[in-house]
Amino acid sequence: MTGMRRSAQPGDSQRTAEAGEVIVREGEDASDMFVIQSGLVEIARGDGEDRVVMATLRNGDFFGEMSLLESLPREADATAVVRTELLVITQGGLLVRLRRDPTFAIEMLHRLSGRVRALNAVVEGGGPP
Amino acid sequence: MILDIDEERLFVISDLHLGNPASTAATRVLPFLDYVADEGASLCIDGDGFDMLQTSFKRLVNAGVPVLAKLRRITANGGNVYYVVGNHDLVLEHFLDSILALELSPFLNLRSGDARIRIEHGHLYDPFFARYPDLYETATHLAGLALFVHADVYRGWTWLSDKADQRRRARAGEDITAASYCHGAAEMLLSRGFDTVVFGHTHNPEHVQMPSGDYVNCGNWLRSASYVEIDHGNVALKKWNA
Repeated sequence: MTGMRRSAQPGDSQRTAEAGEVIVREGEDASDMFVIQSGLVEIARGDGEDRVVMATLRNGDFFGEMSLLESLPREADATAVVRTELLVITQGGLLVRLRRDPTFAIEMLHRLSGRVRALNAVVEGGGPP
Repeated sequence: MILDIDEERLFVISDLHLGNPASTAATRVLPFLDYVADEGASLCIDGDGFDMLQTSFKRLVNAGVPVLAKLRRITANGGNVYYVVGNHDLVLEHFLDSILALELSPFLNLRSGDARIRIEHGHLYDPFFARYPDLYETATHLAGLALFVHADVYRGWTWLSDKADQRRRARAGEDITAASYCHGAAEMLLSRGFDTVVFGHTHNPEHVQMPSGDYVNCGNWLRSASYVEIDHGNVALKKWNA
């Protein structure tokens, strides 16, 4: 991979998170979403022994879109596993991006649909997420 | 809808325009498809494989049936065949998922080795197509009529297109992202965490180092024969010489 990736779109910005750095915290108010340009991010809920790792995301994956779409507090922590470069997309930035990058909407719908399907399976199975 | 795939060895070709009077791909591509099948690899046709806009049903059948037989040979040998929809085969969007031996998609996010690669036809970023889709389709139909009168009209179109491309690149100077809408779109997608972006559509084969990764264009099989080989994440643009 080449060096630092560019943000490429007006309204987007970039952020670098060092290994172990908490990028977003469960319950905090925020409305940005993040696309992982490089690195790894762990998504987890709870603290201490109750902490449950829900997913480990890598380059090309995104998170934080629920807060962006619904303007509601974060549902989970996101922590950089290694040094991670992120594209930060604001609410206004998402609209600009969708006009210029129409396939991004399809990818978001695809991911959200997959998450609903996974949650449905948990509900039907009666187990914890 | 298939969007995410994992393939360690994948060949990508685009713009065969099977059925188009200007296309000579129908017979020339068959040995290439045999090669892919013999390698046990997978294939992606990155848009405009079958030309639904500038053809007749008879031409499409004559050109398409032998190709479909070869695609079935690839799947019989353990490979997958993906088909990304382009602007000359947009009607295939109604068959997204699977038709015949093909897995149809609007675009593909490929994991190969450690690399994440976007494969897309690229027409969505063409300003003419994006702003005036109906006019674009009408103009393409009219150009198709000209091709039926004389197939070498394609040479004139290619010449004009190359000249316009040279002017744009000269204006862009050292900013490669401004060289064309494809370069700009590739950089935009690369900024989303892709290592390489593969487009077709322009008919112009190229492999360019962008600020955030690689942009590769498959070129075309109308009068040429270029392809992209992806092997455990390594991407190479090659010419078929058989």
